[in-house]
Amino acid sequence: MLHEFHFRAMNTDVGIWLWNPSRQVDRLMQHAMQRFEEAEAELSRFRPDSGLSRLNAAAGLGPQTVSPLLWTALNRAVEAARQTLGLFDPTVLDLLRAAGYDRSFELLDSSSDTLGPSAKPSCGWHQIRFYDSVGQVELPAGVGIDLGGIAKGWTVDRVAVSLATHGPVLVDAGGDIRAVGMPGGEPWPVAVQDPFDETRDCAVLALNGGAVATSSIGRRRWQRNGQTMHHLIDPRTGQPSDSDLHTVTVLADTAEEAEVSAKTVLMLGTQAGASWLKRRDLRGLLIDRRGREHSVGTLPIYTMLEIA
Amino acid sequence: MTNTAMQKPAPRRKSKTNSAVWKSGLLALSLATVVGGTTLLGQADAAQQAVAQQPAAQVLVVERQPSGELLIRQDPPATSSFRSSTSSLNSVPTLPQRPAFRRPITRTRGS
Repeated sequence: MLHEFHFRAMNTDVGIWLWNPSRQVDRLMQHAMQRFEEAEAELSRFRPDSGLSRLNAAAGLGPQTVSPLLWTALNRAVEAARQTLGLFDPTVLDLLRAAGYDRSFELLDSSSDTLGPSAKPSCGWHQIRFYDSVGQVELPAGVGIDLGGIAKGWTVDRVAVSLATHGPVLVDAGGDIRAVGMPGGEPWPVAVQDPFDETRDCAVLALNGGAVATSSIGRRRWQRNGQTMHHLIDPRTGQPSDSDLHTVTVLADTAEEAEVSAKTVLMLGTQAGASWLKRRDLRGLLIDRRGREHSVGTLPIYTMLEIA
Repeated sequence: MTNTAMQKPAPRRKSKTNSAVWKSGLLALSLATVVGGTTLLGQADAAQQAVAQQPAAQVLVVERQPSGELLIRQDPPATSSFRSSTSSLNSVPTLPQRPAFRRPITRTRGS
């Protein structure tokens, strides 16, 4: 039977679907939920007591000992920055704050215009120093880390892989989705939401394993100094991305890769982004600001007898 | 010459016999194909009906409420029954072997 479990973690809605003959999977689901809660407790920049917040607060104060969870997540983030030549950069925290995204989005007044400017925001993933032998990390003064999207994708992957020993599973955290296996050989039907009309879908994908994630400038928007801001900061300009793309959905092997790739392509724009995906043999659906859809690679479309 | 003349009809008789046997074989083969094909089509149709009438997979939904309480419901209800209308469907397993997705289970969206 198909077990479905929903809860909130990491400031988003999490859903887990597990195909397992047993009626008793509560313990598994509780364990999955704990993994999300552990990740949030350690990797969130909005929790003042998280390992990440402590590290950010200690920028400029020398090497800091971090937990194995934070150590791994930081290494994943820096590796992603290296792979994207810095287009994905976990050190945009000060730029995000400067843009006004200085608290959990639920607490952000989307029409607020009252936030003052941040002093000399800086970024640069290459400034993070790792001391492997002692498990310590050092941030220079003025550099802060935001693991937001990549931490979510990475946690989705971890939970999906751990549950997969009990049956085909799909984990979704706010649209970052990872599937392992197929229930009864049937692909998972996963819709791609229309960013301009949330009541309809652009497509329904057949996910037979692997992952899909979407980045969009349509969400997490707010006003600042009369300008509409969004949370996807382009490290090249230090400003919210102004490419011609509005929303990017990428299919990849892992949710972490899909998440990072979607952000990167969104900043690159339609042409360069499509080339970037092709070079990595990734597939995606790019929707530009005029609402035009551009498919990269052949998307696996789910065929259903009946869609309510 | 005589020998030759006397020997000639024999192969002709043999050829006629072979032809008859060959035609009979072909006829039998065609008949077998038609009968076999009809049977297979019937079975395939029955199997298709069986799949179509297979019960939707039971879904156990657990939602954690903001209060921390777990809300559990079954979809469809466990009491929903499944009846087979023909004998050919009796072999359909009671438990579905695959989920019957009728809509996307979730959506990827900008985060």
